[in-house]
Amino acid sequence: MISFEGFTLLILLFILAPIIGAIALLFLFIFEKRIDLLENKNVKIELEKELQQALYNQLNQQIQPHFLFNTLNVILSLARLNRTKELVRALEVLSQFLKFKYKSTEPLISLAREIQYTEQYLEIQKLRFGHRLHITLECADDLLTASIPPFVLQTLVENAFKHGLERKMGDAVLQIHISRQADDVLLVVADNGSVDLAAFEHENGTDSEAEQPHEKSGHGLDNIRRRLHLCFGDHAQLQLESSSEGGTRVIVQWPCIFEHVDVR
Amino acid sequence: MTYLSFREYVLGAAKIGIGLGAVSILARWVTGNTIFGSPEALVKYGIFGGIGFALMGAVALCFFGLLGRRVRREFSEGMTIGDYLQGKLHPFGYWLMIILLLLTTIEAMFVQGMAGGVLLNILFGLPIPLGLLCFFVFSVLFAGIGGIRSIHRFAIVQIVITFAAAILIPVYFFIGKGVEHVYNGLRLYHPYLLVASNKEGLLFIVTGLLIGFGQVFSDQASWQRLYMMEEKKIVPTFLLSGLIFATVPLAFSSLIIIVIFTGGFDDIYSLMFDLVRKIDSMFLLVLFVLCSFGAIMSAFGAGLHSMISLMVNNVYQLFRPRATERQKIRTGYMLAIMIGAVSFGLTSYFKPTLLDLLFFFGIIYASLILPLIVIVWSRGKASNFILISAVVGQAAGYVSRAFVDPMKAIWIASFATAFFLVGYLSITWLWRRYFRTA
Repeated sequence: MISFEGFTLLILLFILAPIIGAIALLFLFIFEKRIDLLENKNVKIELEKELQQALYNQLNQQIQPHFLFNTLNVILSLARLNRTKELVRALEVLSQFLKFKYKSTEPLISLAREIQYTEQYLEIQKLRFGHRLHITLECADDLLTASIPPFVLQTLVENAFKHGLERKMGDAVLQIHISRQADDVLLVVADNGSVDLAAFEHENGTDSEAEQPHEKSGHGLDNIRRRLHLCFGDHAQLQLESSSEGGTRVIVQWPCIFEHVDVR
Repeated sequence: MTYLSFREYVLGAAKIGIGLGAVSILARWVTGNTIFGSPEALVKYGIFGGIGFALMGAVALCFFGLLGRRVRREFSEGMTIGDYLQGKLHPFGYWLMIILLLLTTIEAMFVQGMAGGVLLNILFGLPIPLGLLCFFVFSVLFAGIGGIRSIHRFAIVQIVITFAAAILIPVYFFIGKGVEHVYNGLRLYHPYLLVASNKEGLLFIVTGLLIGFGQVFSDQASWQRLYMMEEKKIVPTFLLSGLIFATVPLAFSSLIIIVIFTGGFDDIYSLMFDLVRKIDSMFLLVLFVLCSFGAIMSAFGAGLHSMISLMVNNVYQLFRPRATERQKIRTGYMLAIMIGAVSFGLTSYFKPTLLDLLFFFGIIYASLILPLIVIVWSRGKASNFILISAVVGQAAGYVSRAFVDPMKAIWIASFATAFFLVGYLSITWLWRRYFRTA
């Protein structure tokens, strides 16, 4: 036999059950659209992230042929000059360099690695320029583990040779300075080459004509700008200026992050 | 109400969300049976009979969501259960299933019609045939001619009224009378209702689950609602509908306690009459009447609409494949009038009690559960033997009614189906494994 307490509990259940049911139904009617909206927003954000990732990967891929053609031109000029010893060394360095390039798929790498690959590229240039080339590379030890999108430094160095130092008579000076500025990393690549900013910018897709997406997609500086923007949004910037002593200075600034992060 | 295509008449112009989906399912399942059957179950099988009645539909609805998700994944472009079965069954099995489905829908509509007529008689003293005629004319107009748009509009109003009645009337009574008085009255006049270890009540709960599963799994209106919503919303909608549904029969079965705690009763219909007399507030009386009519009408409407959809889409269209959308809609309207007339005839002639009817057709429902599950879970076309097992079970159930009570006949029907089905599946498995590969 059910006791009075048990009976009271059952009656309470019978009375409360439809109240709970009605509240659940009301809740669904009021909040379902909002929940759907939030869900759709999440899907949209996910899709946008995927698109950004795809775009970033595409930009990373584009920088490789840019570098490859420039290096092959360097090697070609060594061959034309019959500098066989340097040519062999250049091919060795290129081989090591390409090994990295095709292995590297991360969206951000450490500065130490980026410097290492840039040094391999510089090795090739040293073979060409010989004692005429003076390179200074300064980087604080604590910044070696900071993250950087791959091929940023290497592309800037490559551009310094292509648009400045190649045409320079006499000593060619390249200065690379990496420092910390508040929460950012500041990278300065300066050369004493001939100043031809217009050609430099055109080549690098920063003039108005080159603003067309297809036009600029293959060019170095614009590629760096877009990758930095994808990674860090408005927190990163790239400036190009002619130095008072002659030559060009490229200044890049981006937030200092010490671990590998998913750019998405 | 103008529809541009028959699909729009069946499913509506756009997919519905969880909220409207749950309301639509509740409007289909909160029926005259829920309001009048649950008090009957409580009187016959004690307090736990009322709980069992609530559980039977709720659990079945929750599980139907899982089955429904698979159905939609496998065949997403359908409109009715017939569309799905056309792809899954051979012609013989398909037509057999269509006949069984039509039988179960006629039963569902018959129950609602009967409840509607009786209610009109109790409330307004209207002669039952006249009450039935009013009920069927209105139902044919709003559901058969009005289509799904009209059904959904009516469903929202009906569910609001149902919950208002299910919340306010029990609260009003139990506060007015006091739980202790009710308990003492029950102990004095109906102590058997308070027996906790009621074996028959427990058997009713389990049998109720069996019937509930069969009813929901073979219900054309529920299958139609599967196709009305997005695939990802099917499981949450049916799960929530099941949980919310359970609350309504609980509330209505508690109402009958108020009627019987002051003395005995003659039969279940007199109980309803006593309940109406006991509601002394005009507002609550109107609410109860509206709720009862709404439940009966929406369930009848959903049954009528789904039957029209099945007959036009899966019977008429097979014989007239080139029928235009307009012709299909017009045929639907004509069928609505015909089904209304047949239902009127049936309800005027037969007078069983609700539980009698539930147990009679429970045999068909119980024997359809396993075959339907096997059909949905089998890959490719399902064999005719799967459905023949349901027919064998039904035959065994109806024959056994002559020797055992109706509740046991349902168990015999489901066991016979299960035995035949498992036997067939084992033989085909052995055949595939050992003979065909050799």
